[in-house]
Amino acid sequence: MALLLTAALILVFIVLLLYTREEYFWAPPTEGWIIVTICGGFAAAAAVLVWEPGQRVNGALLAAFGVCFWISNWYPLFTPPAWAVPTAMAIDASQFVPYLLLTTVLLRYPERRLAYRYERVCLAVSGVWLVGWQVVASSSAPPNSAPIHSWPTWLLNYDRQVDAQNALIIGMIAILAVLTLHMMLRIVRTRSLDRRTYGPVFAATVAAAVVVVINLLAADRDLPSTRVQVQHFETVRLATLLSIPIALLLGMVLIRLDRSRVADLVVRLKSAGEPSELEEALRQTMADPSLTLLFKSDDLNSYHDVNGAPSPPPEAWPGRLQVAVSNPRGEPLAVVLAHPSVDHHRALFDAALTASAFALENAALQASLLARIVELRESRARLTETSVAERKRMERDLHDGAQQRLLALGLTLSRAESNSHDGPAAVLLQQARAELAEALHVLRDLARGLYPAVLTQLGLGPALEVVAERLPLQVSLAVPARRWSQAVETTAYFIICEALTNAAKHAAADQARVVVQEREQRLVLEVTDDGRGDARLQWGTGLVGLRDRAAAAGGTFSIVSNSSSGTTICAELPCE
Amino acid sequence: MRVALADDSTLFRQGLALLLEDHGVDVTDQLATGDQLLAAIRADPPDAAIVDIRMPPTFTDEGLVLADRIRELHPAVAVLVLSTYAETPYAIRLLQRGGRGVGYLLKDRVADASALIGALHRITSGEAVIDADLVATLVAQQHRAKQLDPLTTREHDILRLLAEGRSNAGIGKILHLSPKTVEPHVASVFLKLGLSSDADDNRRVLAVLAWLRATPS
Repeated sequence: MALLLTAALILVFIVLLLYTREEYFWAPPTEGWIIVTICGGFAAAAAVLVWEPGQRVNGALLAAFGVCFWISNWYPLFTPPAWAVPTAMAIDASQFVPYLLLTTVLLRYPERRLAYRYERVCLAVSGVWLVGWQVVASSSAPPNSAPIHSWPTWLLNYDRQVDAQNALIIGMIAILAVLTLHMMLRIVRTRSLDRRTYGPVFAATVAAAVVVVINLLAADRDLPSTRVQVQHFETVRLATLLSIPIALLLGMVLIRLDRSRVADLVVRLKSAGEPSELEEALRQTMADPSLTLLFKSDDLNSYHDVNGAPSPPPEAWPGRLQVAVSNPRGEPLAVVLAHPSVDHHRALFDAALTASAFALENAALQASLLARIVELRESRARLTETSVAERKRMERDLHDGAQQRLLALGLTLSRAESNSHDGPAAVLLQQARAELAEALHVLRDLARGLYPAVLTQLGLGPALEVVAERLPLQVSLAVPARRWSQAVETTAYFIICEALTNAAKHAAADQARVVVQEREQRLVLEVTDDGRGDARLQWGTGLVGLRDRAAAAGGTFSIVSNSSSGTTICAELPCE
Repeated sequence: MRVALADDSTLFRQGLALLLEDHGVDVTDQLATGDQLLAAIRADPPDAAIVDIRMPPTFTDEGLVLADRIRELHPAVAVLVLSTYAETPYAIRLLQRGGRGVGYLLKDRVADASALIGALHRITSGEAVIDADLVATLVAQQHRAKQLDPLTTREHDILRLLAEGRSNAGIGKILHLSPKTVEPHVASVFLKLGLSSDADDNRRVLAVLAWLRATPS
């Protein structure tokens, strides 16, 4: 429909062009040629625009503007045949129509509708104003001059008409100022690809509006000395108008040139091994740094990002352009979330997604593996946390339950012993008390092994001093006197404890050195001994356990061991 | 001797009170929390207070905090902290706050009535008391590290008793030596360890403990 309308309008334009007198084109300052060029430019832009997806109505409106503009400029310079006079009069009387059409297109473009309410209000006000203008302009003629319009003359005093016209001009300037500001804001607000494609159109619109405002200001003064300049200015105004279809065409050309970005993308994909690299490549292609890839988890109920971290489902991202990508077998691979403006470049976007189909399938697989790793890491951390909490609970239970009861029993035995005076009973009671003391000793060691209270209360340094005091080797400690989170302190404590115990038990070391340092939000632990140095990770499960502990806390673990320099165990744990 | 005690375990508290009374100690108050004990001491100051290290609300080291409070508000009242933690950092923290008449005893030691009564007598006469088990662990560690080799057997014993917080007179009594004989031995120990022996209070104990805990750097 819009297509047919555009074709018909362009046809009308060509027919009218054929009717135009030849000398019109040669009249100085070759205004005729400029007008034909402008109309031709708009016709070309309209013809290209109607083929653009979602731009048919805008294209038709643009074509309509071109034809109306042609007719309104053609009529005064053309002496119409007698049969065409009534039509020509009607056309002349409705000169405001092309400007309303143009304003509508420029406000809509590149959307399919007026996006904001105030745009509609602005357009309505402009319409009312232009109609009013026409009515006032036609209502009276200057004294002693023949009316140039065939429009009915109103019974208005000429002076009053001049006042009204001045008021209308000021109002028009105000409306144009609002539109100019609006367009400038659009230039500022559009991003990346949009700015490149539509920015020239917005800028041309601003330029045209500014020129019209200046024109109106000059006309308002209407001084004889400025007449010539006004004449020249008319040329400038028409040239500025021409910049609008040129900008529109430029945008269309740029959209087509953008398809070459897909070629760049294909080259980039060759070296994009990780899902995050694919995401980055797509971001660059679409010039949208907010572009996000979401992959569906295996359980199909949750989503994860390129790093495998859990992500909210696409429904939780309102206002984003969402495109679901499937593999050739129709299985869902990923959901791409992009800035809404990417929809203006849908052809490029679809091409980019098609080009990255294989990479996306790979990335979906990799991301699902990563997600599983993340899940495992988290569950391991949770298990460690649970085990620490469980140890603390058992230590507390031992202390508050068994230990207290045995201690009370000790007191009773002691009293019984002192009341039994001397005799065989006293000897037995003393023996019982000694055995109880031994039991309590064992229980205390057990409680400390489960979870050392001194670690919670006094921190890593004092807790390690206590460990060092009990080991049959000389231990030098360099531990900062500060506190970290319980999880970090516990992990660090057990790793160092185990390392020192290994040094004493298996490596037969005489000396060990413990250095704890905080570097860039990582706690770096280093335990060095002077022992045999035959420690291997695959050997005793103790060392593997240490590595697991460090890994569960999101850290790293390494070991260097040889007979000449003993064993060095190094672990790094993330700490805030 | 008049003693007030605070422990959140009713069983242990009552057993302890009965044991003390059996040995002629007048137990003025038996309380479950530190606040109650502070109020009781304010109302009727005893000679000594016995406090459990682990008490409500956090069940961590309230006893140490409570001991500091008592020493600050009632310097004349000696404080004995009973602990299930055989760990020196707690004992050192207690001694570091200064003052006289503090003790850190393991709870299982209490069943040995004579050790308990002895400790109470020592702290009320201004001595410091550090549990013999704690000292034994430290001495054993240094022994392994061969740091104690220059000491004679007698000096070795004296070092252990010094670390337990005993005065020269106390040491003499245990080793059956006259105070005059003990003095040169003590001086010799301090000389060999490179410590100054001028202070005859907590600082002397702290210095010895620090030396025993010192790790080569």
